[in-house]
Amino acid sequence: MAMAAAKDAKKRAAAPRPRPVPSLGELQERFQAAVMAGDDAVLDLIPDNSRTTRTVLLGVYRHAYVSRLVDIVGNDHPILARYLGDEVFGAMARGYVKEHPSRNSNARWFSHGLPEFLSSSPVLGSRREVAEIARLERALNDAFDAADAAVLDLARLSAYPPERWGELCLVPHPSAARLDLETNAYAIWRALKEDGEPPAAAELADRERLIVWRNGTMPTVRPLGAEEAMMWDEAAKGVPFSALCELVAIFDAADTAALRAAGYLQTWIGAGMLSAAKLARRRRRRQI
Amino acid sequence: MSLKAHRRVTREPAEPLPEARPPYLGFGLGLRSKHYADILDDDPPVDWFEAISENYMIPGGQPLQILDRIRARYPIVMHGVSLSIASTAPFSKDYLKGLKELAHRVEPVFISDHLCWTGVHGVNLHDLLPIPYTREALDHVVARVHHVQDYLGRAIVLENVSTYVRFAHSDMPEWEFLSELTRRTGCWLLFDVNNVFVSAFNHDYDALEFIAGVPADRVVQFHLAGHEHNMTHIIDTHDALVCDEVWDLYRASLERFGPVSTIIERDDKIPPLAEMVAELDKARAVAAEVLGGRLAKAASH
Repeated sequence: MAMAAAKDAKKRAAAPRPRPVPSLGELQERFQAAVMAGDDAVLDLIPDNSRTTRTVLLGVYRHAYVSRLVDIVGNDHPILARYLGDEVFGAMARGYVKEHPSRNSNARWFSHGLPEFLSSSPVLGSRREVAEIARLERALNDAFDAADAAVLDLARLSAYPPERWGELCLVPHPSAARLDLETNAYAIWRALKEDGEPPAAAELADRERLIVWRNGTMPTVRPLGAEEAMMWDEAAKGVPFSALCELVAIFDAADTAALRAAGYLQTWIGAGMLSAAKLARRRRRRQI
Repeated sequence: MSLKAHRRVTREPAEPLPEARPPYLGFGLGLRSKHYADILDDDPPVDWFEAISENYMIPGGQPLQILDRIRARYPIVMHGVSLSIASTAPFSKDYLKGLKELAHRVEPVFISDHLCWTGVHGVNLHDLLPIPYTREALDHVVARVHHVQDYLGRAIVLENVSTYVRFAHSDMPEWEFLSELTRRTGCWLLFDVNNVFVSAFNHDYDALEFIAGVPADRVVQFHLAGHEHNMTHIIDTHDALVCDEVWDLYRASLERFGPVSTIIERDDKIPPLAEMVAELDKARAVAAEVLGGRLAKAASH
Protein backbone atom coordinates (compact mmCIF):
# COMPACT_ATOMS: atom_id res chain seq x y z
CA MET A 1 0.00 0.00 0.00
CA ALA A 2 2.75 2.37 0.99
CA MET A 3 4.64 1.64 -2.23
CA ALA A 4 1.49 2.18 -4.34
CA ALA A 5 0.85 5.50 -2.61
CA ALA A 6 4.41 6.57 -3.25
CA LYS A 7 4.08 5.60 -6.91
CA ASP A 8 0.88 7.64 -7.19
CA ALA A 9 2.55 10.60 -5.58
CA LYS A 10 5.49 10.30 -8.02
CA LYS A 11 3.08 10.09 -10.93
CA ARG A 12 1.27 13.20 -9.80
CA ALA A 13 4.54 15.07 -9.42
CA ALA A 14 5.64 14.08 -12.93
CA ALA A 15 2.38 15.17 -14.60
CA PRO A 16 2.41 18.74 -15.92
CA ARG A 17 0.60 21.02 -13.55
CA PRO A 18 -2.53 22.41 -15.13
CA ARG A 19 -2.19 26.10 -15.75
CA PRO A 20 -4.59 28.15 -13.70
CA VAL A 21 -7.13 29.61 -16.10
CA PRO A 22 -7.52 33.32 -15.53
CA SER A 23 -10.87 35.03 -15.65
CA LEU A 24 -11.54 37.15 -18.72
CA GLY A 25 -10.87 40.26 -16.65
CA GLU A 26 -7.53 38.93 -15.38
CA LEU A 27 -6.54 37.93 -18.89
CA GLN A 28 -7.32 41.40 -20.23
CA GLU A 29 -5.33 43.05 -17.44
CA ARG A 30 -2.35 40.82 -18.18
CA PHE A 31 -2.62 41.33 -21.91
CA GLN A 32 -2.81 45.09 -21.54
CA ALA A 33 0.22 45.07 -19.24
CA ALA A 34 2.04 42.94 -21.80
CA VAL A 35 1.34 45.35 -24.63
CA MET A 36 1.85 48.60 -22.77
CA ALA A 37 4.54 47.74 -20.25
CA GLY A 38 6.33 44.71 -21.68
CA ASP A 39 5.07 42.40 -18.94
CA ASP A 40 5.49 38.77 -20.11
CA ALA A 41 3.06 37.06 -17.72
CA VAL A 42 0.41 36.66 -20.42
CA LEU A 43 2.79 34.49 -22.47
CA ASP A 44 1.86 31.56 -20.20
CA LEU A 45 -1.57 31.59 -21.81
CA ILE A 46 -0.43 31.79 -25.43
CA PRO A 47 0.88 28.86 -27.48
CA ASP A 48 3.46 29.18 -30.25
CA ASN A 49 2.15 28.69 -33.75
CA SER A 50 3.71 26.08 -36.03
CA ARG A 51 6.22 28.57 -37.45
CA THR A 52 7.17 31.02 -34.74
CA THR A 53 7.11 31.75 -31.06
CA ARG A 54 4.44 33.30 -28.88
CA THR A 55 6.88 36.12 -28.15
CA VAL A 56 7.04 37.04 -31.83
CA LEU A 57 3.27 36.82 -32.15
CA LEU A 58 2.62 38.94 -29.06
CA GLY A 59 5.22 41.35 -30.40
CA VAL A 60 2.86 42.23 -33.25
CA TYR A 61 0.51 43.83 -30.72
CA ARG A 62 3.35 45.49 -28.82
CA HIS A 63 4.79 47.03 -31.94
CA ALA A 64 1.42 48.06 -33.35
CA TYR A 65 0.42 49.77 -30.12
CA VAL A 66 3.35 52.15 -30.12
CA SER A 67 3.57 52.72 -33.87
CA ARG A 68 -0.14 53.43 -34.26
CA LEU A 69 -0.15 56.06 -31.51
CA VAL A 70 3.12 57.60 -32.69
CA ASP A 71 1.52 57.92 -36.14
CA ILE A 72 -1.47 59.68 -34.59
CA VAL A 73 0.82 62.19 -32.86
CA GLY A 74 2.60 62.75 -36.18
CA ASN A 75 -0.62 63.21 -38.13
CA ASP A 76 -1.86 65.73 -35.58
CA HIS A 77 1.45 67.61 -35.48
CA PRO A 78 2.99 67.53 -38.97
CA ILE A 79 4.78 70.87 -38.63
CA LEU A 80 6.29 69.96 -35.28
CA ALA A 81 7.44 66.67 -36.80
CA ARG A 82 9.14 68.58 -39.60
CA TYR A 83 10.69 71.04 -37.16
CA LEU A 84 12.16 68.39 -34.89
CA GLY A 85 13.10 65.86 -37.57
CA ASP A 86 12.17 62.18 -37.65
CA GLU A 87 14.56 60.99 -34.99
CA VAL A 88 13.85 63.58 -32.30
CA PHE A 89 10.13 63.64 -33.05
CA GLY A 90 9.91 59.84 -32.98
CA ALA A 91 11.68 59.62 -29.62
CA MET A 92 9.50 62.40 -28.25
CA ALA A 93 6.29 60.78 -29.50
CA ARG A 94 7.28 57.39 -28.07
CA GLY A 95 7.88 59.10 -24.74
CA TYR A 96 4.44 60.68 -24.94
CA VAL A 97 2.83 57.33 -25.74
CA LYS A 98 4.56 55.79 -22.74
CA GLU A 99 3.55 58.53 -20.29
CA HIS A 100 0.09 59.31 -21.63
CA PRO A 101 -1.99 56.18 -22.26
CA SER A 102 -5.09 57.04 -24.25
CA ARG A 103 -8.11 57.50 -22.03
CA ASN A 104 -10.56 58.44 -24.75
CA SER A 105 -12.55 56.07 -26.93
CA ASN A 106 -11.72 58.27 -29.86
CA ALA A 107 -8.08 58.52 -30.96
CA ARG A 108 -8.89 62.00 -32.25
CA TRP A 109 -8.00 63.39 -28.82
CA PHE A 110 -4.99 61.22 -28.08
CA SER A 111 -2.40 63.91 -28.71
CA HIS A 112 -4.31 66.62 -26.86
CA GLY A 113 -1.91 66.64 -23.92
CA LEU A 114 1.20 67.02 -26.07
CA PRO A 115 1.89 70.75 -25.44
CA GLU A 116 1.86 70.24 -21.66
CA PHE A 117 4.00 67.10 -22.02
CA LEU A 118 6.52 69.10 -24.03
CA SER A 119 6.55 72.00 -21.56
CA SER A 120 7.53 69.64 -18.78
CA SER A 121 9.87 67.50 -20.87
CA PRO A 122 13.40 67.31 -19.46
CA VAL A 123 14.71 67.05 -23.04
CA LEU A 124 12.62 69.59 -24.93
CA GLY A 125 11.14 71.70 -22.12
CA SER A 126 13.93 74.25 -22.36
CA ARG A 127 13.13 74.79 -26.06
CA ARG A 128 9.97 76.72 -25.39
CA GLU A 129 9.11 77.15 -29.05
CA VAL A 130 8.55 73.38 -29.32
CA ALA A 131 5.58 73.31 -26.93
CA GLU A 132 4.24 76.51 -28.50
CA ILE A 133 4.27 75.00 -32.00
CA ALA A 134 2.35 72.06 -30.53
CA ARG A 135 -0.14 74.48 -28.92
CA LEU A 136 -0.73 76.17 -32.25
CA GLU A 137 -1.26 72.87 -34.05
CA ARG A 138 -3.62 71.67 -31.32
CA ALA A 139 -5.65 74.87 -31.62
CA LEU A 140 -5.88 74.41 -35.40
CA ASN A 141 -6.92 70.76 -34.99
CA ASP A 142 -9.57 71.78 -32.48
CA ALA A 143 -10.87 74.51 -34.76
CA PHE A 144 -11.19 72.04 -37.63
CA ASP A 145 -13.88 69.94 -35.96
CA ALA A 146 -15.21 72.36 -33.34
CA ALA A 147 -18.96 72.57 -32.92
CA ASP A 148 -20.95 74.08 -35.77
CA ALA A 149 -22.73 77.36 -35.15
CA ALA A 150 -24.34 80.14 -37.10
CA VAL A 151 -21.94 82.76 -38.45
CA LEU A 152 -22.86 86.36 -37.73
CA ASP A 153 -23.03 88.51 -40.85
CA LEU A 154 -23.56 92.22 -41.37
CA ALA A 155 -27.12 91.73 -42.58
CA ARG A 156 -28.09 90.08 -39.31
CA LEU A 157 -26.27 92.76 -37.32
CA SER A 158 -28.04 95.53 -39.20
CA ALA A 159 -31.35 94.16 -37.94
CA TYR A 160 -30.53 96.17 -34.81
CA PRO A 161 -30.96 99.95 -34.96
CA PRO A 162 -27.56 101.65 -34.75
CA GLU A 163 -28.49 103.35 -31.48
CA ARG A 164 -28.63 99.92 -29.81
CA TRP A 165 -25.33 98.60 -31.09
CA GLY A 166 -23.64 99.73 -27.91
CA GLU A 167 -25.71 97.19 -25.98
CA LEU A 168 -24.66 94.30 -28.16
CA CYS A 169 -22.56 91.48 -26.71
CA LEU A 170 -20.59 89.51 -29.29
CA VAL A 171 -20.50 85.73 -29.22
CA PRO A 172 -17.30 84.14 -30.60
CA HIS A 173 -17.69 81.21 -32.95
CA PRO A 174 -17.17 77.95 -31.01
CA SER A 175 -14.04 77.28 -33.06
CA ALA A 176 -12.33 80.52 -32.00
CA ALA A 177 -9.43 80.34 -29.56
CA ARG A 178 -6.78 82.88 -28.53
CA LEU A 179 -3.16 82.02 -28.00
CA ASP A 180 -0.37 84.14 -26.58
CA LEU A 181 3.07 82.88 -27.54
CA GLU A 182 6.29 83.99 -25.93
CA THR A 183 8.58 82.67 -28.65
CA ASN A 184 8.65 83.00 -32.42
CA ALA A 185 6.86 79.64 -32.73
CA TYR A 186 4.33 81.18 -35.11
CA ALA A 187 7.07 82.39 -37.48
CA ILE A 188 8.67 78.94 -37.35
CA TRP A 189 5.32 77.25 -37.98
CA ARG A 190 4.49 79.58 -40.87
CA ALA A 191 7.87 79.11 -42.57
CA LEU A 192 7.64 75.33 -42.37
CA LYS A 193 4.02 75.38 -43.50
CA GLU A 194 5.15 77.19 -46.64
CA ASP A 195 8.06 74.75 -47.12
CA GLY A 196 10.53 77.46 -46.19
CA GLU A 197 13.52 77.56 -43.90
CA PRO A 198 12.39 78.31 -40.34
CA PRO A 199 14.05 81.14 -38.43
CA ALA A 200 16.19 80.31 -35.43
CA ALA A 201 14.11 79.93 -32.29
CA ALA A 202 13.94 83.08 -30.22
CA GLU A 203 12.16 84.53 -27.21
CA LEU A 204 10.04 87.55 -28.13
CA ALA A 205 10.26 90.94 -26.41
CA ASP A 206 6.49 91.22 -26.66
CA ARG A 207 4.26 88.20 -26.87
CA GLU A 208 2.70 87.04 -30.16
CA ARG A 209 -1.05 87.31 -29.96
CA LEU A 210 -2.85 84.84 -32.22
CA ILE A 211 -6.43 84.02 -32.96
CA VAL A 212 -7.34 80.60 -34.37
CA TRP A 213 -10.76 79.83 -35.77
CA ARG A 214 -12.52 77.98 -38.56
CA ASN A 215 -13.26 80.18 -41.53
CA GLY A 216 -15.85 78.23 -43.47
CA THR A 217 -14.35 74.77 -43.19
CA MET A 218 -10.70 75.79 -43.00
CA PRO A 219 -8.82 76.23 -39.72
CA THR A 220 -7.20 79.66 -39.84
CA VAL A 221 -4.66 81.54 -37.75
CA ARG A 222 -3.98 85.28 -37.72
CA PRO A 223 -1.76 87.48 -35.54
CA LEU A 224 -3.56 90.25 -33.69
CA GLY A 225 -2.25 93.64 -32.63
CA ALA A 226 -2.28 94.32 -28.91
CA GLU A 227 -5.39 96.50 -29.12
CA GLU A 228 -7.43 94.10 -31.22
CA ALA A 229 -6.42 91.18 -28.98
CA MET A 230 -7.51 93.14 -25.91
CA MET A 231 -10.85 93.97 -27.49
CA TRP A 232 -11.40 90.36 -28.56
CA ASP A 233 -10.58 89.03 -25.11
CA GLU A 234 -13.01 91.46 -23.50
CA ALA A 235 -15.70 90.78 -26.07
CA ALA A 236 -15.34 87.06 -25.42
CA LYS A 237 -16.13 87.74 -21.75
CA GLY A 238 -19.48 89.27 -22.79
CA VAL A 239 -18.51 92.95 -22.44
CA PRO A 240 -20.99 95.00 -24.52
CA PHE A 241 -19.82 96.91 -27.55
CA SER A 242 -20.08 100.39 -25.96
CA ALA A 243 -17.77 99.28 -23.14
CA LEU A 244 -15.42 97.74 -25.70
CA CYS A 245 -15.21 101.12 -27.41
CA GLU A 246 -14.34 102.73 -24.08
CA LEU A 247 -11.57 100.17 -23.51
CA VAL A 248 -10.22 100.83 -26.99
CA ALA A 249 -10.29 104.54 -26.22
CA ILE A 250 -8.16 103.97 -23.14
CA PHE A 251 -5.80 101.77 -25.09
CA ASP A 252 -4.97 104.39 -27.74
CA ALA A 253 -6.24 107.63 -29.29
CA ALA A 254 -9.71 108.29 -27.90
CA ASP A 255 -11.03 110.30 -30.82
CA THR A 256 -10.76 107.40 -33.29
CA ALA A 257 -11.60 104.63 -30.81
CA ALA A 258 -15.14 103.98 -32.04
CA LEU A 259 -13.92 103.81 -35.61
CA ARG A 260 -11.15 101.37 -34.68
CA ALA A 261 -13.54 99.21 -32.65
CA ALA A 262 -16.03 99.19 -35.53
CA GLY A 263 -13.19 98.21 -37.88
CA TYR A 264 -12.22 95.24 -35.73
CA LEU A 265 -15.84 94.17 -35.52
CA GLN A 266 -16.21 94.36 -39.29
CA THR A 267 -13.08 92.26 -39.73
CA TRP A 268 -14.32 89.63 -37.29
CA ILE A 269 -17.70 89.44 -38.98
CA GLY A 270 -16.13 89.24 -42.43
CA ALA A 271 -13.87 86.39 -41.33
CA GLY A 272 -16.63 84.39 -39.65
CA MET A 273 -15.14 84.72 -36.17
CA LEU A 274 -18.46 85.50 -34.49
CA SER A 275 -21.58 83.42 -34.26
CA ALA A 276 -24.05 85.89 -32.78
CA ALA A 277 -24.67 89.27 -31.17
CA LYS A 278 -27.02 89.57 -28.24
CA LEU A 279 -28.55 92.58 -26.55
CA ALA A 280 -27.02 92.78 -23.10
CA ARG A 281 -29.36 94.76 -20.93
CA ARG A 282 -32.68 93.07 -21.43
CA ARG A 283 -33.89 90.31 -19.21
CA ARG A 284 -34.97 88.31 -22.22
CA ARG A 285 -32.03 88.44 -24.54
CA ARG A 286 -32.75 88.49 -28.16
CA GLN A 287 -30.35 86.59 -30.35
CA ILE A 288 -29.83 87.29 -34.00
CA MET B 1 -32.16 54.95 -21.88
CA SER B 2 -34.90 54.03 -19.46
CA LEU B 3 -34.18 52.23 -16.24
CA LYS B 4 -36.31 49.40 -17.50
CA ALA B 5 -34.14 49.07 -20.56
CA HIS B 6 -31.04 49.22 -18.39
CA ARG B 7 -32.25 46.34 -16.23
CA ARG B 8 -32.68 44.18 -19.26
CA VAL B 9 -28.91 44.11 -19.62
CA THR B 10 -28.48 41.56 -16.90
CA ARG B 11 -30.76 38.94 -18.34
CA GLU B 12 -30.81 37.27 -21.67
CA PRO B 13 -34.06 37.00 -23.59
CA ALA B 14 -35.01 33.39 -24.24
CA GLU B 15 -35.28 34.21 -27.94
CA PRO B 16 -33.79 37.36 -29.41
CA LEU B 17 -36.42 39.55 -31.01
CA PRO B 18 -36.53 38.77 -34.71
CA GLU B 19 -35.18 41.66 -36.72
CA ALA B 20 -35.36 41.97 -40.47
CA ARG B 21 -32.14 41.14 -42.24
CA PRO B 22 -30.38 44.32 -43.40
CA PRO B 23 -30.87 44.83 -47.13
CA TYR B 24 -28.33 43.79 -49.71
CA LEU B 25 -26.28 46.87 -50.65
CA GLY B 26 -24.06 45.65 -53.45
CA PHE B 27 -20.40 46.67 -53.72
CA GLY B 28 -19.00 49.51 -51.64
CA LEU B 29 -15.83 51.06 -50.30
CA GLY B 30 -14.56 52.22 -46.96
CA LEU B 31 -15.08 56.00 -46.88
CA ARG B 32 -11.71 57.75 -46.62
CA SER B 33 -11.05 61.50 -46.47
CA LYS B 34 -8.57 61.26 -49.33
CA HIS B 35 -11.47 60.39 -51.65
CA TYR B 36 -13.98 63.01 -50.47
CA ALA B 37 -13.48 65.40 -53.38
CA ASP B 38 -13.60 62.68 -56.04
CA ILE B 39 -16.75 61.19 -54.55
CA LEU B 40 -18.53 64.52 -54.45
CA ASP B 41 -17.30 65.66 -57.86
CA ASP B 42 -17.64 62.46 -59.85
CA ASP B 43 -20.37 60.31 -58.27
CA PRO B 44 -18.21 57.19 -58.71
CA PRO B 45 -19.87 53.85 -59.50
CA VAL B 46 -19.82 52.65 -55.91
CA ASP B 47 -23.05 51.28 -54.44
CA TRP B 48 -22.47 52.34 -50.84
CA PHE B 49 -19.86 53.52 -48.35
CA GLU B 50 -18.78 52.30 -44.96
CA ALA B 51 -17.88 55.22 -42.67
CA ILE B 52 -15.64 54.78 -39.63
CA SER B 53 -17.96 55.93 -36.84
CA GLU B 54 -15.26 57.54 -34.69
CA ASN B 55 -14.11 59.79 -37.54
CA TYR B 56 -17.47 61.52 -37.32
CA MET B 57 -18.03 61.38 -33.56
CA ILE B 58 -16.72 64.91 -33.31
CA PRO B 59 -18.40 68.20 -32.43
CA GLY B 60 -18.74 69.58 -35.97
CA GLY B 61 -16.86 70.88 -38.98
CA GLN B 62 -16.09 69.64 -42.46
CA PRO B 63 -16.05 65.83 -41.92
CA LEU B 64 -19.66 65.83 -40.74
CA GLN B 65 -20.75 68.20 -43.50
CA ILE B 66 -19.14 65.97 -46.11
CA LEU B 67 -20.64 62.85 -44.58
CA ASP B 68 -24.07 64.49 -44.80
CA ARG B 69 -23.51 65.24 -48.49
CA ILE B 70 -22.31 61.73 -49.29
CA ARG B 71 -25.18 60.28 -47.27
CA ALA B 72 -27.59 62.23 -49.46
CA ARG B 73 -26.27 60.28 -52.47
CA TYR B 74 -25.22 56.87 -51.13
CA PRO B 75 -26.32 54.40 -48.47
CA ILE B 76 -23.97 54.52 -45.48
CA VAL B 77 -23.03 51.88 -42.94
CA MET B 78 -21.40 53.01 -39.68
CA HIS B 79 -18.39 50.90 -38.76
CA GLY B 80 -16.85 51.48 -35.34
CA VAL B 81 -13.51 50.54 -33.84
CA SER B 82 -13.98 51.48 -30.18
CA LEU B 83 -17.14 49.79 -28.95
CA SER B 84 -14.91 47.30 -27.11
CA ILE B 85 -17.76 44.83 -26.92
CA ALA B 86 -15.66 42.13 -25.23
CA SER B 87 -13.96 44.33 -22.64
CA THR B 88 -14.53 43.64 -18.97
CA ALA B 89 -14.44 47.39 -18.36
CA PRO B 90 -17.78 49.21 -18.20
CA PHE B 91 -19.00 50.75 -21.42
CA SER B 92 -18.16 54.38 -21.98
CA LYS B 93 -21.52 56.12 -21.67
CA ASP B 94 -20.17 59.05 -23.67
CA TYR B 95 -19.13 56.72 -26.46
CA LEU B 96 -22.51 55.00 -26.67
CA LYS B 97 -24.28 58.35 -26.55
CA GLY B 98 -22.09 59.70 -29.32
CA LEU B 99 -22.67 56.59 -31.41
CA LYS B 100 -26.42 56.90 -31.01
CA GLU B 101 -26.37 60.59 -31.88
CA LEU B 102 -24.33 59.93 -35.01
CA ALA B 103 -26.71 57.14 -36.01
CA HIS B 104 -29.62 59.54 -35.58
CA ARG B 105 -27.90 61.97 -37.94
CA VAL B 106 -26.65 59.49 -40.53
CA GLU B 107 -29.49 56.96 -40.48
CA PRO B 108 -27.08 54.17 -41.45
CA VAL B 109 -28.30 50.96 -42.99
CA PHE B 110 -26.67 49.24 -40.00
CA ILE B 111 -24.05 49.78 -37.32
CA SER B 112 -21.08 47.46 -37.02
CA ASP B 113 -18.01 47.02 -34.85
CA HIS B 114 -15.59 44.23 -34.00
CA LEU B 115 -15.63 41.17 -31.79
CA CYS B 116 -12.72 42.31 -29.65
CA TRP B 117 -11.78 44.55 -26.76
CA THR B 118 -9.71 47.72 -26.86
CA GLY B 119 -8.64 48.21 -23.24
CA VAL B 120 -9.47 48.02 -19.55
CA HIS B 121 -9.05 50.36 -16.57
CA GLY B 122 -10.07 53.40 -18.56
CA VAL B 123 -7.30 52.93 -21.11
CA ASN B 124 -7.85 52.53 -24.84
CA LEU B 125 -5.08 50.83 -26.80
CA HIS B 126 -6.81 51.72 -30.07
CA ASP B 127 -6.29 48.18 -31.28
CA LEU B 128 -8.63 45.26 -31.89
CA LEU B 129 -7.45 42.87 -29.20
CA PRO B 130 -8.07 39.09 -29.10
CA ILE B 131 -10.35 37.23 -26.74
CA PRO B 132 -10.29 33.65 -25.50
CA TYR B 133 -13.11 31.64 -27.02
CA THR B 134 -14.56 30.37 -23.76
CA ARG B 135 -18.03 29.96 -22.29
CA GLU B 136 -17.20 32.71 -19.80
CA ALA B 137 -16.23 35.15 -22.56
CA LEU B 138 -19.27 34.18 -24.59
CA ASP B 139 -21.67 34.84 -21.69
CA HIS B 140 -19.94 38.17 -21.09
CA VAL B 141 -20.11 39.30 -24.70
CA VAL B 142 -23.70 38.14 -25.07
CA ALA B 143 -24.74 40.35 -22.13
CA ARG B 144 -22.83 43.30 -23.59
CA VAL B 145 -24.36 42.87 -27.05
CA HIS B 146 -27.81 42.87 -25.44
CA HIS B 147 -26.90 46.07 -23.62
CA VAL B 148 -25.77 47.84 -26.79
CA GLN B 149 -28.72 46.61 -28.82
CA ASP B 150 -31.14 47.74 -26.12
CA TYR B 151 -29.48 51.14 -26.01
CA LEU B 152 -29.31 51.65 -29.75
CA GLY B 153 -32.71 50.11 -30.34
CA ARG B 154 -31.42 47.93 -33.17
CA ALA B 155 -29.41 44.77 -33.80
CA ILE B 156 -25.72 45.42 -34.34
CA VAL B 157 -23.29 43.73 -36.71
CA LEU B 158 -20.01 42.28 -35.40
CA GLU B 159 -16.86 41.53 -37.37
CA ASN B 160 -14.30 38.79 -36.84
CA VAL B 161 -10.89 40.39 -36.33
CA SER B 162 -7.42 39.33 -37.42
CA THR B 163 -5.55 37.86 -34.48
CA TYR B 164 -1.89 37.08 -33.93
CA VAL B 165 -2.14 35.12 -30.69
CA ARG B 166 -4.66 32.63 -29.41
CA PHE B 167 -5.28 31.55 -25.87
CA ALA B 168 -4.58 27.97 -24.87
CA HIS B 169 -7.65 27.74 -22.65
CA SER B 170 -10.11 28.56 -25.45
CA ASP B 171 -12.67 25.78 -25.44
CA MET B 172 -14.28 26.37 -28.83
CA PRO B 173 -13.17 27.60 -32.25
CA GLU B 174 -13.81 31.21 -33.24
CA TRP B 175 -16.59 30.26 -35.66
CA GLU B 176 -18.47 28.40 -32.94
CA PHE B 177 -18.16 31.45 -30.69
CA LEU B 178 -19.55 33.68 -33.45
CA SER B 179 -22.35 31.24 -34.18
CA GLU B 180 -23.40 31.10 -30.54
CA LEU B 181 -23.14 34.85 -30.22
CA THR B 182 -25.42 35.55 -33.14
CA ARG B 183 -27.85 32.83 -32.05
CA ARG B 184 -28.13 34.18 -28.51
CA THR B 185 -28.26 37.90 -29.31
CA GLY B 186 -29.70 38.25 -32.78
CA CYS B 187 -26.69 40.29 -33.84
CA TRP B 188 -25.55 39.96 -37.45
CA LEU B 189 -22.08 39.12 -38.69
CA LEU B 190 -19.63 41.07 -40.77
CA PHE B 191 -17.44 38.39 -42.29
CA ASP B 192 -13.99 39.77 -43.00
CA VAL B 193 -12.58 37.34 -45.53
CA ASN B 194 -9.06 38.70 -45.20
CA ASN B 195 -9.20 38.42 -41.42
CA VAL B 196 -10.23 34.78 -41.71
CA PHE B 197 -7.25 34.18 -44.00
CA VAL B 198 -4.87 35.99 -41.61
CA SER B 199 -6.12 34.26 -38.45
CA ALA B 200 -6.24 30.83 -40.11
CA PHE B 201 -2.61 31.15 -41.15
CA ASN B 202 -1.50 32.54 -37.79
CA HIS B 203 -3.28 29.81 -35.84
CA ASP B 204 -2.80 26.85 -38.14
CA TYR B 205 -6.36 26.04 -39.07
CA ASP B 206 -8.21 25.70 -42.35
CA ALA B 207 -9.99 28.90 -43.39
CA LEU B 208 -12.61 26.80 -45.18
CA GLU B 209 -13.53 25.27 -41.84
CA PHE B 210 -14.25 28.78 -40.56
CA ILE B 211 -16.43 29.53 -43.56
CA ALA B 212 -18.32 26.27 -43.09
CA GLY B 213 -18.76 26.89 -39.37
CA VAL B 214 -20.55 30.24 -39.51
CA PRO B 215 -24.34 30.24 -39.92
CA ALA B 216 -25.00 31.23 -43.51
CA ASP B 217 -28.10 33.27 -42.81
CA ARG B 218 -26.40 35.64 -40.32
CA VAL B 219 -23.68 37.12 -42.52
CA VAL B 220 -24.72 40.51 -43.89
CA GLN B 221 -21.41 41.98 -45.02
CA PHE B 222 -18.03 40.97 -46.38
CA HIS B 223 -14.78 42.85 -45.98
CA LEU B 224 -11.96 42.36 -48.45
CA ALA B 225 -8.49 43.79 -47.77
CA GLY B 226 -4.77 43.26 -48.16
CA HIS B 227 -2.15 42.23 -45.63
CA GLU B 228 1.57 41.79 -45.01
CA HIS B 229 2.89 38.25 -45.17
CA ASN B 230 5.92 37.63 -42.95
CA MET B 231 6.11 33.90 -43.74
CA THR B 232 5.89 32.91 -40.04
CA HIS B 233 2.80 35.03 -39.49
CA ILE B 234 0.59 37.48 -41.37
CA ILE B 235 -0.11 41.03 -40.25
CA ASP B 236 -3.42 42.57 -41.22
CA THR B 237 -2.20 45.90 -42.53
CA HIS B 238 -5.08 46.84 -44.83
CA ASP B 239 -2.54 48.61 -47.00
CA ALA B 240 -2.33 46.45 -50.11
CA LEU B 241 -4.34 44.86 -52.89
CA VAL B 242 -6.46 41.84 -52.06
CA CYS B 243 -4.23 38.81 -52.71
CA ASP B 244 -5.14 35.77 -54.81
CA GLU B 245 -5.68 33.48 -51.81
CA VAL B 246 -8.18 35.94 -50.32
CA TRP B 247 -9.99 36.19 -53.66
CA ASP B 248 -10.26 32.38 -53.55
CA LEU B 249 -11.69 32.55 -50.05
CA TYR B 250 -14.10 35.23 -51.25
CA ARG B 251 -15.31 32.77 -53.89
CA ALA B 252 -15.78 30.12 -51.23
CA SER B 253 -17.59 32.63 -49.01
CA LEU B 254 -19.94 33.60 -51.82
CA GLU B 255 -20.70 29.96 -52.47
CA ARG B 256 -21.64 29.44 -48.84
CA PHE B 257 -23.26 32.78 -47.93
CA GLY B 258 -24.70 33.85 -51.30
CA PRO B 259 -25.03 37.51 -52.28
CA VAL B 260 -23.68 39.57 -49.37
CA SER B 261 -22.93 43.31 -49.31
CA THR B 262 -19.21 43.67 -49.92
CA ILE B 263 -16.63 46.39 -49.44
CA ILE B 264 -12.94 46.73 -50.02
CA GLU B 265 -11.18 48.26 -47.03
CA ARG B 266 -7.95 50.23 -47.28
CA ASP B 267 -6.58 51.98 -44.21
CA ASP B 268 -3.05 52.86 -45.25
CA LYS B 269 -1.19 53.60 -48.51
CA ILE B 270 -4.59 54.59 -49.84
CA PRO B 271 -4.53 54.78 -53.65
CA PRO B 272 -6.60 57.16 -55.81
CA LEU B 273 -10.31 56.42 -55.85
CA ALA B 274 -10.17 55.13 -59.42
CA GLU B 275 -7.83 52.32 -58.34
CA MET B 276 -10.16 51.37 -55.50
CA VAL B 277 -13.10 51.36 -57.88
CA ALA B 278 -11.12 49.10 -60.25
CA GLU B 279 -10.44 46.64 -57.44
CA LEU B 280 -14.11 46.79 -56.50
CA ASP B 281 -14.97 45.90 -60.08
CA LYS B 282 -12.93 42.76 -59.61
CA ALA B 283 -15.08 41.90 -56.59
CA ARG B 284 -18.17 42.45 -58.73
CA ALA B 285 -16.77 40.18 -61.43
CA VAL B 286 -15.86 37.43 -58.97
CA ALA B 287 -19.32 37.58 -57.39
CA ALA B 288 -21.01 37.51 -60.80
CA GLU B 289 -18.90 34.52 -61.80
CA VAL B 290 -19.76 32.59 -58.61
CA LEU B 291 -23.38 33.64 -58.16
CA GLY B 292 -24.59 34.27 -61.67
CA GLY B 293 -28.28 35.23 -61.68
CA ARG B 294 -28.54 35.19 -57.88
CA LEU B 295 -26.46 38.37 -57.77
CA ALA B 296 -28.71 40.26 -60.16
CA LYS B 297 -31.75 39.04 -58.25
CA ALA B 298 -30.32 40.30 -54.93
CA ALA B 299 -29.47 43.66 -56.48
CA SER B 300 -32.97 44.09 -57.85
CA HIS B 301 -34.63 43.67 -54.43
